[in-house]
Amino acid sequence: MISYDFEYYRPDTYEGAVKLFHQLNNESKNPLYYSGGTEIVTNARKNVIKTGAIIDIKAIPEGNLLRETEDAILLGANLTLNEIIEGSNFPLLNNVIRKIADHTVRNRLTLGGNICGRLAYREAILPLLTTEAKMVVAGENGLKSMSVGEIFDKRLKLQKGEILLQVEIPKKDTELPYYHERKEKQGEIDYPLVHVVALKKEERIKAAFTGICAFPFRSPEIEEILNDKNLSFEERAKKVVDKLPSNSRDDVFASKDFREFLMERSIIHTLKNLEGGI
Amino acid sequence: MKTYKDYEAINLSINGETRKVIIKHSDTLLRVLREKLGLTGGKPGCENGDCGACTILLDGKPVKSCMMLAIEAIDKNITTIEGLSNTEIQKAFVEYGGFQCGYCTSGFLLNAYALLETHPDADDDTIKEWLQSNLCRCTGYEGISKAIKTAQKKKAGI
Repeated sequence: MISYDFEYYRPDTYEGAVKLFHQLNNESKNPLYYSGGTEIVTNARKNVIKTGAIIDIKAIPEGNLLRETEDAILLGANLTLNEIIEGSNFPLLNNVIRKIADHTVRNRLTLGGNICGRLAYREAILPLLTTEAKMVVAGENGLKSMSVGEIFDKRLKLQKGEILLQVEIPKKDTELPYYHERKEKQGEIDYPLVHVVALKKEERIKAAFTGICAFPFRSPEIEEILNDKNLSFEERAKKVVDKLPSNSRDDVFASKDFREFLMERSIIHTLKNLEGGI
Repeated sequence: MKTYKDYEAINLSINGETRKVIIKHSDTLLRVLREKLGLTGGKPGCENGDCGACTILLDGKPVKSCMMLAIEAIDKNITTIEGLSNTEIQKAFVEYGGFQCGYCTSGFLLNAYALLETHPDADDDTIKEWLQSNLCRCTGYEGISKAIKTAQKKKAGI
């Protein structure tokens, strides 16, 4: 049971949603955009988040599109993970998000919710970071489209009141060879200790990671190491761990040393799969 | 734009009937079903989306009713365990002992029912993927698994 009250709004345009957000914010209601609700409902129940107003954005049509053009796959941010798995033609994304939560939760959990949520893992962003995806964002000045590398740094850099509306993935990137490896503590239905996601494009490996640090990331420095064919797979894996953008996580789920060991193993498997060799 | 600012009398379509109920906007669907409509088949377990004891069907898809607001269910078709009667999956659960203490049973039944309606030819991997959403603390998975496979065969006329 959620122990406090809030107002509930369901706008049917993104312009209306953004305008409403600023109005409610000016009234000090600490509004929250709401889509699948899985994270907001559970955190509200635990009093981890407090809000005076929920803006449910599921009725905004642009957020529910799933369309394939000649050049791109367009995914609305309000699509549930299962809707994407069943309807999109990007195998790497489908395989990565199939590991998030469980099947029943994925009937509610949305692409935008996973990317913009409070949980550190945000695994749905990993395949997008390895591509030249564009993120379509609605704000006070209308729509803007930015490359994922431009707008994602540890988290999606949205301005107050902005909404992630759509993701546009170049089709050529969705057909590339890929590999991903996810390690959990016990069962498959768990948060990742390490998740490595990689694509091979023009003989270069592009990789994104989560679990190992407190945020998802893609790093040019790490990609230089991954693609340095003068080094063995094992040497590259060790060097990657030395060049992580922050300390490795060290918590009740796994020690720093164990996570780094898993990271090295996953990198070696990734290189074997995408570069070949034994 | 739909706006709800205060206590609200809403209609919910549940098991083929229209039910009127007064809710506040922060009420979860699970709490409304159990505490305001007397539909106690869905159970509060973890209320965190992990256990699946609160599973209901929303437009035929299994969802965890502890993780959604009741107000979101307006204009949707809700099926609770009270709406399932004499189905193959229920008979198979009885025949193969697909339950021990019974607390998780309604969630398992609804999820398994939706699975067999959606994928009558579900293979082992699909069955596993769907059923991983529910936990049985008595560890009665063997009986549950047999019940689902039996119901699947009966539905296929095998």
